[in-house]
Parts: sequence; structure tokens; C-alpha cells
Amino acid sequence: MKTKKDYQSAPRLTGEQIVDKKLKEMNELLSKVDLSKLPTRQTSNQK
Amino acid sequence: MNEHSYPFTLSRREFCYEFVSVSAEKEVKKVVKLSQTNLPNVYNLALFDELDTGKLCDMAESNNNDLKTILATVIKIIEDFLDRSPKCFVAFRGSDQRRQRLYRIVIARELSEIIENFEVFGGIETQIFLFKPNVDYEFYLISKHEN
Repeated sequence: MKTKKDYQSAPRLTGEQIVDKKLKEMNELLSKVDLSKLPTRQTSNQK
Repeated sequence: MNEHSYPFTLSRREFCYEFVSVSAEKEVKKVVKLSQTNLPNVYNLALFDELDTGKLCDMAESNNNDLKTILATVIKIIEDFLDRSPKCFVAFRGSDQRRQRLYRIVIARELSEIIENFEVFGGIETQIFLFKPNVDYEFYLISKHEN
């Protein structure tokens, strides 16, 4: 993950460009995972 | 159809919430954007300050001494969005390491209350885990229990 300094030294982006960039980063992260197999939290009744 | 047509673009599906951070010194307009990712039921959350120029900034330090209130508002916004879209997930990560850590601390603090209605996951590389305090995740996911 980038540090604040990395972002400060990066060229200024418009709001739209920032949203696109964040979306692209999140899409990359999500492309590696399978959301159909999510873990479930054990409830107190199941313990 | 052989008629001449204009070029067009498809806008992403996006929801936009707005609120105002208020202190005795100033008011700062905050914008929360929830943008549909490549996974149709997952929306990426991004928090911005709207600057005086009208531009959005995700690295602004507004220093309005109301961080707790801002994060509580963002949690309410996530709740509102998931109440309207109960099959969806909200994904987010900090725009820098400090913010990522801050989000982890806030989720950990509020976890017992959040998990009454929602589930919180943390992602590390190819794995998704149930959120646990003191673990560094690359991103967070929140959903309603029905998922």
C-alpha cells in the first residue's frame, strides 16, 4: 500500500480520476478472491 | 441501422452520499461515493472532501476535530446503502497506511455492534477472512447477514 508521501508526490488527479483509480485498485484486489465461499461467524448458540 | 450516430460512453453505476462536517471554525463538505466494481454486487466506497474549488480530494486533512463523528456517519451511510441493497457488499480500503490502520481500529471498536446486523470481512491476497482486530488486511468488505 502506498504511503501518504507517495500520494503527495503523485500528480494531482481530478475527483473522477481518483474514483477510477480506487475502483481499478479494488477490482484488482477483488479479482483474486472468491466471494461465493465466505467464512461465517460462529454464533453463541453454535459454540 | 445505417444512420450516422454519435459516440457514447457507459457511465459506471455509482451512488453518492453527501454530508457536512461542522465545527466552530469551519464547515467541510464530505462526499461518499459507492461505485460498482467488476463484481456487480460489490461497491467500492470512497470518502472525499469537497474543496472550495469544487474538486474532490481523498487526501485532505480537514482537521475539524470530528473524526469520530465522520466515521460514525460513514458507518450509517454503509448501513443505509445495505438496507437499500441487501444483497450487496461494500468494499473499502484506506487511501494510505494511516487511514487503513484507522479504519481497522474503528471497525474493531464498533465490531460487537456492527455484527448484530452486518458481517465484516478482511481480505489478504486471495483469502477472505472474518474480520479480527489486530490483523492487517488489504481491504475490508461489509455485507448484511442475509448474504
